[in-house]
Amino acid sequence: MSEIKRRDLLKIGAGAALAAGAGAAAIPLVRRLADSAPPAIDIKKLVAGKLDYTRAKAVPTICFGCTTHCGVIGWVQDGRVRKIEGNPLDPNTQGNICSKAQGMISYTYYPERLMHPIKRVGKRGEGKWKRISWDEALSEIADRMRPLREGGVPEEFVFHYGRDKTKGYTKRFTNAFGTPHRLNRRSICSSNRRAPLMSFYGREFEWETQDFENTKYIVNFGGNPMEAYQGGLYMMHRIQKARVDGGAKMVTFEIRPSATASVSEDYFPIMPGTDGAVAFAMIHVILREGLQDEEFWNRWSNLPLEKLRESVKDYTPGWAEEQSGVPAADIERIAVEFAQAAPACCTMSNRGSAKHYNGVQADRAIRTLDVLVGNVGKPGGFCLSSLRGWAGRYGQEGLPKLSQPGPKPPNPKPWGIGEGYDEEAFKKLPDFVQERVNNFPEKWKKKYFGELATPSEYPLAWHWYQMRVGQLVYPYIKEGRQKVSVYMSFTLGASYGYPEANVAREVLQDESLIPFHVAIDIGYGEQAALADIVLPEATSLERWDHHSTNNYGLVPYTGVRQPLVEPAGETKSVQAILQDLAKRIGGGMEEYFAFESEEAFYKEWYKNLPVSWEDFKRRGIWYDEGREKDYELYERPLTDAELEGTAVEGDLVMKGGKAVGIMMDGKAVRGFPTPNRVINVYDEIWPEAAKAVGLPADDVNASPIAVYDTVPEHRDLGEDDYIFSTFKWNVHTQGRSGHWKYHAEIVHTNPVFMHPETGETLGVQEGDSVRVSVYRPKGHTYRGGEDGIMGSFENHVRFLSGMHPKVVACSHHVGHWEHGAVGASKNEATGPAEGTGPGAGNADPQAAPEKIWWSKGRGGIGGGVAINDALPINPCPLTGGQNWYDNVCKIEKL
Amino acid sequence: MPDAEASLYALLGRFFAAEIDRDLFETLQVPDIRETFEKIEPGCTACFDEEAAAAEFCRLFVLPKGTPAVAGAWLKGTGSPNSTAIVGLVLNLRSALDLDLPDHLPPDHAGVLLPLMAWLLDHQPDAAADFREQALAPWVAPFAAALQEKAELPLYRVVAKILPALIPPVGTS
Amino acid sequence: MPEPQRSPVPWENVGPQFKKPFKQAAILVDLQRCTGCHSCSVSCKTEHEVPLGDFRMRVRYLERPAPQQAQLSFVPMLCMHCQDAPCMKACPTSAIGRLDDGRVVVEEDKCCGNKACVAACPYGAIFINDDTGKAEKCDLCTHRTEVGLDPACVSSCPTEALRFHDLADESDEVTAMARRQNAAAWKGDEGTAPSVLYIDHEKWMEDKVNLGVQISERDGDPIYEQDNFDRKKR
Repeated sequence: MSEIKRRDLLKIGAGAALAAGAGAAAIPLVRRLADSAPPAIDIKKLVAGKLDYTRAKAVPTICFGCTTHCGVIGWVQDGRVRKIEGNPLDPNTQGNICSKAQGMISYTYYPERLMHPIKRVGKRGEGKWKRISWDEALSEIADRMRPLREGGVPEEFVFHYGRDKTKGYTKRFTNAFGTPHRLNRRSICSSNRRAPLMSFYGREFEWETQDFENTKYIVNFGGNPMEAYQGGLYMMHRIQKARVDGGAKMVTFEIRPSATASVSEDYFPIMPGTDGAVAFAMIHVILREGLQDEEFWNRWSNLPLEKLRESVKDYTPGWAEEQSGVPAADIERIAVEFAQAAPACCTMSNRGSAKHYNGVQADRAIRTLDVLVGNVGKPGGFCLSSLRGWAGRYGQEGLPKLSQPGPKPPNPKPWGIGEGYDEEAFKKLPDFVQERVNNFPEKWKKKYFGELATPSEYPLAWHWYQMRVGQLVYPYIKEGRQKVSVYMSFTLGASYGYPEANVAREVLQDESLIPFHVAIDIGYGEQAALADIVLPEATSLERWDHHSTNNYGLVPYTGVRQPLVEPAGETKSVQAILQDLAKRIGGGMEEYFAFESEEAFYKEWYKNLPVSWEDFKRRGIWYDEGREKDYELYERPLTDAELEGTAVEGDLVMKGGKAVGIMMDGKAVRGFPTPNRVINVYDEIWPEAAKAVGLPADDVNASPIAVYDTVPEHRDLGEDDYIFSTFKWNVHTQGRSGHWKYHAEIVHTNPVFMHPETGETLGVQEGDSVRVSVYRPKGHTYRGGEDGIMGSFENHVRFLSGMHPKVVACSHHVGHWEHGAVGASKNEATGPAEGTGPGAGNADPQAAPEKIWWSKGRGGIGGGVAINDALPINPCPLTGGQNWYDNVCKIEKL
Repeated sequence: MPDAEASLYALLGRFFAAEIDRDLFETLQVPDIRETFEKIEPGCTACFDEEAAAAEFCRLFVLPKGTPAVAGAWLKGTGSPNSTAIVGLVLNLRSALDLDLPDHLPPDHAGVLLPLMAWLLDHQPDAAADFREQALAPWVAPFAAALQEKAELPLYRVVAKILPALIPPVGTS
Repeated sequence: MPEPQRSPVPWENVGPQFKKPFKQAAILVDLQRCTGCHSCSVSCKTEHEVPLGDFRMRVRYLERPAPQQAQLSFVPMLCMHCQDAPCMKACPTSAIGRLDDGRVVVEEDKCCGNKACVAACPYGAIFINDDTGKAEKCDLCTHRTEVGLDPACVSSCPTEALRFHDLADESDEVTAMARRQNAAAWKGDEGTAPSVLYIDHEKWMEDKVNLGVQISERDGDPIYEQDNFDRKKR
C-alpha cells in the first residue's frame, strides 16, 4: 500500500466535512450550555497526576475481593479509584485489608472489561457476538420471561448465582416472578460445615465466631484463614496478635504448608479425611484424664456424658495415629494442652475437615471438643455472634431493625399435593421423586420446591434453610428432572469452576435443555461465553449492597457498599437491571420495584439506624460502641417483655408453640436457638434423613451422634494411589481473579505440588510434566462406584517438603480460557500450559504484551491449567456438600 | 464549514464509537473519501454486510482478546502520560468546557478522544496540539498496528493505517 | 433520636500538618507476624503503578531448613534505606541522595540509567524502569509521608509485621520494641547500616533470597514462578 500523505488525509477530511455539513455519519460534540464562550484551556494543567492525597477523596465501602467483605475506603482522584485501604472504623477488620482489595481496581479498570450488553450471533458458544442496546436486551429477556409467568409456569425461570451480596434483592425478584429457582453454590463450598453447626446450635449459627483476641490455644483442622476462609482477614489479624503478643499457641492439621500451617506452633501433615479420627481421639483423652468441664456439659449438652464416653471408647490416640499419621503422643499432648487452656481455647475447621464423605461427622466431633471443655461463648473460646441482617433475631435484641423496603413479594408455594401447595409443578416431577416427597414428614413437605432448589435426595441441604446442591443442577437438568425455559447466570463461573465443569458446559450449550441463557457478570468469562445475551454488571466500586456478617470483635455491626464512581461504559448494577426487567415483565412485578433510585432503596433499608443517612454514608459502618460483647448469650435471662405470653412446659419456655427459652436454676434464660434450647450433640435429624432417602443406617452420615468411618475410596488404597486435593492462595479468590494483573504476577500457575519423596517414588523431578488421573468416588454419591478414570489433566510438578507424602495438590484460580490476555492460557495436552504470547491484543496498561514476563512467548513458565473437568461431582449424602478432597488419583510421568 | 482536519478526526472517532452502519457506509461513498480509501486498500468501500460489520466491531473492540480501542490497553502505567492521566484529562476537560461526551464509552476510548480532538481543532486550536500529544500520540501506534493485523474487515485496516499517519508518535513531527 | 456522629472520619486527617517529623525514617519488619499475605507488595504495586516484572518490594516464600522444613517463612524484602548506602556511592551522576529524614531517594532528573546502583545494591532493591529509563526503588512513599500517611506497605499490613518509625528516637515505641527484640540488619556483614531492621530473621534466609527484591533465576519460591527448573540443565 502506498504511504499516506498529508494531502490524502485532508482529502478525506474535506469529504467528511461535506458529509457532516449534510448531517451524515459523525456527530460533533456539543457543549451543554453553549451561550457562553468556552474558557481558554491549558491541556498540560488538566492531565491527571500521581495520587495526591490532599486532592483525592476517600469514600468508605465494602470490599468484594473475596467473600469476607471487609470495610474499606477507596481513594478517588480525577474520576478514578486509585487505591483501596482499610476502613479503621470497621470493628471487624480494625482497618486491615489483604492483597485482594486492590484487585477491585484491576477488575474495574482492565481495558478488556465488558462495557456493553451483547447478543450472540452464530451458534451458542461459538464466540461471535454483536452489541445491543439495554432496551433491546431487556425487552427480549422480558418477552421470554413474561409468558412463563402468565402461563403459570414461572418455575421454568431459573436464576443461578455464584456470589450474591445484595442480601435479598435478587430473591425479591425471583419471588416476585414466582419461581423458587434461585440456585447457588453453597454446597460446593461449605454446606458440610454449616450443617453440623446448625444441628448443634440452631439455624442462627451456621458459622461460629471464635474469640481469637483472647484465646490461648487453637486447634485447627485444615482451616486456612491466613489465605482464604470466609472471614479469614478478621481472624488473621487477631490470631497473629494473640500468638505474638498473647502467647497463644496454634496447632494445625493440613495437607500442605499453607500460610496458616506455616505460622502455627505445630503443623502436622494429615491424611485427608481423617481429621475426625484425631478429634475423636482428643475427646477420648480428655475424658480419660477427666479434663472435661462436666458442669457445662451436663448443663448444656443433650447427650449424657456416659454415652459420649461409650461412643469414643475405641477411638484411642494409637488408633487415630493409624488412621491419620499424626503421632499418638502428640494427639495426647494436644488434647491435654487444649483442655487445660479452657475456656480460653477453641477449635477451628472449615473445608479441610468437612469436605469429605465423613466430613460432616468429623466436624461434629470437632464441635464436640469445644462443648466438652466448656469454652462455648466464653472469652477466648468458641463464641456465637449475629450473622445475618438485623431482624430481631436471637442475639439481635436491642439492635435497630434493618429490612428491605416493602412491599415484599410473598414466597412461592411449596410443591406438593394439597391446599397451599403447587400441585401442577409437583406432578411434573419424576414418579420416584413424587413418591419420596409424599413420604416426607410435614416439616419437609412444607419446604420442598422441586429438585433444583430442594433436591429430595438431600433433605439436609434444605432442612434448616436452602443451602441447595449447586453441583447437581446441570446433571438434573440433563436428566429431565426440571424443564428450564429461561436460565439466568449471575456472577457464576460454573462452566469453569464447578466439579465436572464439562457437564455444565455441555448442558449450557444444549438449546433443547437451556433454550435461553442470560449471563450477568462484571466480565466476559467462561459462563458468559455460553450465553445468548450478556449483561455487563457494574463492579463493587460502582454499586450498592447491604452488608452484615459476624464480627470477630463480638459486637454486631453493619455496613453499606456504596458507589465510588459511576458505572463504566454502559454497565449497570444488578439492582438496576432487575428493577428494569421487573417493570418490563409487568403483571404486578413492578409493584415490588417501585422505588425511585438505588440509593433511595438502601436509605430506606437503613432508616432505623440512630445516625443520619449522610453520616452513615460518610463512615460506611455503624455499631453500638456501648454494647456488651456476645459472651454466653445462652445464659442471658429473658426480659419481662420477652416473658410476656409465655408458658413453661417441662423445662422449656414456650410461646406460640415454639420454645423461646429454657429454665435453668429456676430462672428463664435464653438457651440456644435450637428446638430444645440446648446444644444438640445428639441429633435425630441424621438418621431421620437417612431413612427418608434410603441411605443405609450403617453409613457414617446416618449416625445420630458423631462417629468415625474411613472415606469409602480410601479403604483399600494401593501403593500407586494418591489423594488429589485443591486449595486456595491468599492472592487469589475462587475462579474470578486470574486476570488481576498484580495478583497473576505472583501466582500465575497451578503446578502439582507434592512432597519430594513422592517425586522420588514417581521418578519425577521438579518441572517434569505429569498426568493426574482421577477416579470416581465410592460410597452413596453421584455415579458412586463407577469404575475407571473419570478425568485427567496435565501439569508440571513442584516440590514442597510440607506436603503430606500421599497427597498432591493444585489450586484452581488460574487456567482460564476467557477473561482476556492476563487471565487466559491454553490447556496444552502435553506439558505445562502455554501462557499469553506477544502480539496478542493486550488489554492492560501494566501488562502490554512484552510485560507478561511469565508468558511462554517470553521464555516464562506460562499460565495455568484448568483442572475442574477432572474433578468428580461428589455430593455428600444428606447434605449434598461437595466432597472435594477425597479424590483418589494416579500420577504418571509424561 | 468545519475544518477538514477536524472533520477527519470526527469521522475516525465514529468508527470506534459504534458499529459501521449503513449511514456511515454511505458517507464513505463521498468521492473524496471513497477515492482515498480505495487508494489505501482497493475494494474496501465496495460492499457492506451489516451483520458481519456488527460482529467484527464486537470482536475487535468489545470482547476480550480483541484490540480494545482504549488508551489503557496500549500504555504502561508509569512514565507520562498514562491511562489514568488521560482519563483525568478528559474528565477535567468535560467539566471545564461543560461538554457532552458519549457516556456509553470510558473516557480514554478512541470514540471519545478523537471527537474531542475534532472539537478542539474547531474551537480551541491552540490547545489541540497539546491534546494530541498527551492523549493520542502515546498509544495510537501500537493500537493501530495491532488493529491492522487483527482486523478482518478491510475498512478497519484502512482506519488502522490512517491513524498513525495522522497522529505520529511523540517526538516526531 | 441520639446526636448524629459528627466526629471527623480518620481519613480526613491528611495534610502537611500531619507529617511525622522523623530524624531517621525506618521500617521495622517483624517476621513473627508476617503471614505472607502480599497486602504490602500489591499495595506498593498499586500505589506506584510499578511495571510487571519489576519490584519496589516483594514477599519471599522460603522453605525452612530441617527440622522445620514442612513450614514456610515469609519475608518482605525492600530497600533497606542504608545509612551507608552503596547505591549512593556507586552513582556517577550523584542522582541518589538523602531526604532530611535519612531516607534514600533517586532524583530522576540526574539519573543517566547506567545501572551502577543496581549492581552495587546487596539487596536487589533497584530496577531500571523501561518506560523512563531511570533507576527506581522504594522511596518510603514520600508522597504519602509528606501528608501524614504511612508508606503504603505499612498501612496495608494486616498483622503489624511492617511498622514505620523513627530509628533515631528512643522514645518511639516501635524503636523501643525493635531494641527489646534485638531487631537486626539483613546481611549485616555488608556494613551498609540499614534503617530497615528485621525481628526474627535467620542467617539461612540470607543465603536463600538471592537478589532479594528483584527476581533472580535462582529463586526457589513456589510463587512468582519462573521456568527455572534444573531440568533445563539436564
